[in-house]
Amino acid sequence: MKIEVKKSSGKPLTKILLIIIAILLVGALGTLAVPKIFTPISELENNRPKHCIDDKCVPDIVFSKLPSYPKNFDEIDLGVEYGKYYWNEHFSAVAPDENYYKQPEFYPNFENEENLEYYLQVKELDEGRVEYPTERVGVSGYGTYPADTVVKGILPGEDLKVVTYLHTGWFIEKYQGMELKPVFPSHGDTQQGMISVVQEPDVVKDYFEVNIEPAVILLEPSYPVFYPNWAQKVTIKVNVKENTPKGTYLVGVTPFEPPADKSEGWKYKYGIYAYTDAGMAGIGRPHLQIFVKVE
Amino acid sequence: MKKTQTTFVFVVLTLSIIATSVKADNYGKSTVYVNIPSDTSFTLTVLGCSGSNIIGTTEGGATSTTGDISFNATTTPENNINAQSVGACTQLQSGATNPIYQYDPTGNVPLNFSLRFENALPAWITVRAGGVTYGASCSGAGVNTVQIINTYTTVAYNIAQANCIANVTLTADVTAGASAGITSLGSLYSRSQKA
Repeated sequence: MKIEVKKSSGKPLTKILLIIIAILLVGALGTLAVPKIFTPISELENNRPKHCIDDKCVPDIVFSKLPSYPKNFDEIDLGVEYGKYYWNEHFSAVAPDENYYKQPEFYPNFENEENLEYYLQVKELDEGRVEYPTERVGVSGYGTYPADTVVKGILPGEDLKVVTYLHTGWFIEKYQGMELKPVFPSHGDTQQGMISVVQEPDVVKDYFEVNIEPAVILLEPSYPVFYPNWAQKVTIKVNVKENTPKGTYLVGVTPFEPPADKSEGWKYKYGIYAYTDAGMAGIGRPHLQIFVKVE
Repeated sequence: MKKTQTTFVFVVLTLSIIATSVKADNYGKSTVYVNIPSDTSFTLTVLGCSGSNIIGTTEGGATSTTGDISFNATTTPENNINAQSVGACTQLQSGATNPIYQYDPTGNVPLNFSLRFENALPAWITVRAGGVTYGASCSGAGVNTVQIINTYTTVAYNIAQANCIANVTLTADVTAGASAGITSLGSLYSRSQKA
């Protein structure tokens, strides 16, 4: 029996090298590849779940003025909740952002029984009419989501951007005019106690230049049906001035009454039963808190 | 030769790791954003008309109230005048079970509610808030009995986001020096009729 012993010629190592290079090339090409192609039309079919307590469900007409409910809504909703989107915008190629943030399900607690009770009392009649109870009337209510943002690693002279969604509270029948303004509270903390700040408002206000877009806003009713502009995107750009010392600061944003000419115009257009200025009720903190850690 | 090839593999791997790091740097940033999924929304209701309303959905905000409140004094001086809503009907509050205001946090943040009037009140009227909390999750929450002025005063505190509502009553005292007729105080109206 003849036994041959082959001396290694180095070819296997060459093959390994070629495979590695091929893998690297494929990886490199992958980064240059055309983005995944979506089919938005089919994805935009209405996928809203039914909201029911016992045998009674919220009628479809409550949501009839809203954009379509995207198929991947739950994925985006979870992503926002877990802070997967740095800027809270540009969520998905499936649908525009407003298809997500204009859905009541985008916000915490809409599906709570207490909140759903309001909408379960709406009855859909014929020709786009609805009937609803009037013993109590929702006249004022709004909030932001997210309401707390922490920004770390900012240097003096740099800009930061925060996006939040200002929305009408549940069960509100009024158009609400407001102007968002920056505020600098003497103290504040995140709900979970992650960060706590004590500061001198008169000193801190000179460290930041805050630009809010849009600042003057008309929020539309959320009852008996959701109107298209019941939720709106707000972008806050903050410039940290060069003279800002290291430290953690709190920049707040909260609604006040709108400018008088805007208020008059909206009152004229909608009437005093339908329109109100925001700002009478405070909540003990700014509606949006931006904690800025300057390095 | 073998050594050269091994070195080459090492160099390729090292370069690829460096390249990956550089690519990651393009997407990473020294600034870190942490978004906390909190929602500060609330709902404030006032007394409306009994029964129901029928509207077409193209008619937004066909409410029965302006959202304002008034105190109707039939004589002066008069104390503990109950607030009533201003609108298509007159609905007078009747204690904390049927209060002029109900505050309800509708997001996921417990809130302290405060109230203010648009303008400073005349010396002849004093307005007080009071009330109770209502619901299964009101541990640690409460409603203060306080005077309401033209700067925010905390009325209800630590109202939880679910199953807790602050029922807030407003009452007014009017002195003998009250003006006759309707006096508008921004979102507060006082109707006073001298004896």
